[in-house]
Amino acid sequence: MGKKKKKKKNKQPKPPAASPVKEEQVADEAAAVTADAVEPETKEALDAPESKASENNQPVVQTNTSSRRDFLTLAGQAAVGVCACTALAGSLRLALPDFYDGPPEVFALGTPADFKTGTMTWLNENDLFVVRDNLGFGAFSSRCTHLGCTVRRTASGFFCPCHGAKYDSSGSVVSGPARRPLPWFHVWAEADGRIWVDTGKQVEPGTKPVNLGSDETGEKK
Amino acid sequence: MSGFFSSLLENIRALPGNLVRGLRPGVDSQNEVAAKRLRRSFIYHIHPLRVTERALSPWVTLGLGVITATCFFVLAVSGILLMLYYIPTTKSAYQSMEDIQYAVTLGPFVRALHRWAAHAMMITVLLHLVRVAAMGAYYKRELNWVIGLCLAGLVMGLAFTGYLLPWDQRSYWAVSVATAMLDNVPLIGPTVKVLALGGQQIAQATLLRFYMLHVALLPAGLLVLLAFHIWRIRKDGGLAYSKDLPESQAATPAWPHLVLREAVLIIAALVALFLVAMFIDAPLGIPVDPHTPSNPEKAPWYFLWAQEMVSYSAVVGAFVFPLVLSGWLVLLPFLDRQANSVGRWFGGRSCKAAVAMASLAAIIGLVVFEWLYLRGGGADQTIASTPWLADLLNPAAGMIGLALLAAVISGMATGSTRAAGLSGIAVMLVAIVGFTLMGICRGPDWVFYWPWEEWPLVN
Repeated sequence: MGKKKKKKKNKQPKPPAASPVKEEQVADEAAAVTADAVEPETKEALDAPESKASENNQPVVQTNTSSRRDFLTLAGQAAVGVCACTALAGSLRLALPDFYDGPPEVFALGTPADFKTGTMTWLNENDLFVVRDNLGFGAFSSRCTHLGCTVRRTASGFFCPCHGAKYDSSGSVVSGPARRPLPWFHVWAEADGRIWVDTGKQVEPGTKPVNLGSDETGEKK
Repeated sequence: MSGFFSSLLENIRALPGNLVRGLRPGVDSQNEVAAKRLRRSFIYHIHPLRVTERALSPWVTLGLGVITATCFFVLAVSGILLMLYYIPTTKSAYQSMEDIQYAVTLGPFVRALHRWAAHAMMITVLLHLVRVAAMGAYYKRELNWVIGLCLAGLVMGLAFTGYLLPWDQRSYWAVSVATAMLDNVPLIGPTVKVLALGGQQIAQATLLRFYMLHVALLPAGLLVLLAFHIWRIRKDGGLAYSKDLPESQAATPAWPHLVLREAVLIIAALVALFLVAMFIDAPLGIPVDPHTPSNPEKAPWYFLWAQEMVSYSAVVGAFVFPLVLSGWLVLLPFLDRQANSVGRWFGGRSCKAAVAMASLAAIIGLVVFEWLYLRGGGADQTIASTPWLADLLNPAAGMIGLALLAAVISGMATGSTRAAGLSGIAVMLVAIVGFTLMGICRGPDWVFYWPWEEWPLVN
């Protein structure tokens, strides 16, 4: 406590002296004042907090009569600070949108006829791979779990051109910086005859729950 | 009535003289010296009347601060000109870039000037930071050091936000990746991402936000902090130089000696930028495809080190390394309070040796880490299957560890906090340069090619 107040006091003669005329000199003087007066005291106070601090405290006690001014100054500064913080918080809150467009989570992938058995289709607009084999339909993301680039199909699986992550054909990580497999999503057949997906619902990799039989039945519908 | 007209007539008659007198203060002053000072009052706001001999030497600051400020001036002017034609909408942005490039007289020149000045500024701001750190000139100048770091951050922010504006393939994916990196920042990351993007993905809102940041908020902040930065140099007593070093403090008038040197530097920088802009066009990528990144999709060169790092581990590259580096830099003047050898390259002899050893260790360390890492074709199977182990055992994390180790060893060997601080920075700098060089060599399928090698044709 004592230390703080003393520093303030030492600074007080500064403002009136800081006229623009003899700036260099004044700055030097001010530096000399602070260097001479503050540093030894603080150092000593740190070295021997009890004995020396009590000696040094004496002048502070004598001139420490403007506590009301100190308090009002502090209160004023605090008020300005609170106002500034509120304004900043408000600005940031305004910048944080309450509504924004995102891709739909639930949508139709297409009719079974759009996907032949034994194929994998990339729906680029939806960032999805749709696989169909004898087990049924499955859908998983084509966005790399590392930093969100679209992965490319390779002979052995998938590859991300942004940071070199590699996945196998079911989306499990083979090598590179990705830590999680490509997420698979819940798919189901709706009464309208189309296959739907919910990208908000993740399922176990390799899940192909929708079995609509062979291509032929799909095409007849 | 007549009094009014006569005095008006008198004022009109005296107008030419008064115009000169009024707009050029001190022109009719009796004291020629005072008049000159008045006329140069702007200069004397920046510089004191007299400076030390040392301040005139080009080898102390290398003029890096002046060049950086010149770049900012060029960027402001060329940026304002580009704003006349650029349209920040997803539909028109790329089209307006093509207009500037192909249908505006001097458009390609101004665009190239803006691009190359931005690149030059990235380099000079980094070198300026390194110079001040290497000379220990942050000693007892904590405020100006922190302001300088904020300025460096603003320059990076300007480079990054400017990157999205052409709305070409590269800009889209660079920003896509960089904002995805925020997912690895704990607590505030996801919120900052929505703030930056104006949603969850790059869209019209993002382009508008980046445009606002690039042309208004960040340059305004930079201008204010730059003025503060320059003013603080004078208030802190000019270039840092500790008393234990040989005296070279003979005072010289700032005008004309220092001012002319600065003017020459500014003109040289302007000429260099203009020449480069005249002969080398700024590239414009292919239009954006928001669903298919190119192969490889590379960041601009000044962020290649970050891209290389996140290609080992997103957490380390996007969060831990930037945090360690910025924390280290901010704390540097507070943890190294050594008063001697301020203003000398790398402090004393022992400090110089320590930093050199640390740099050498960093180069060897980087090679060894990379060899160990790439031996398994990018990642060891057992390590790759354990996420936390993969984040811990990779070259990026290794270099962070090496920086801490080098700092401790340097500090213990020399007993100098400056040697410790600078050794750590040296290791991280070696890491940044090394990862940048590796990033330059990344080709299709994330395979290494020499820069002069031609990439094979891939889809």
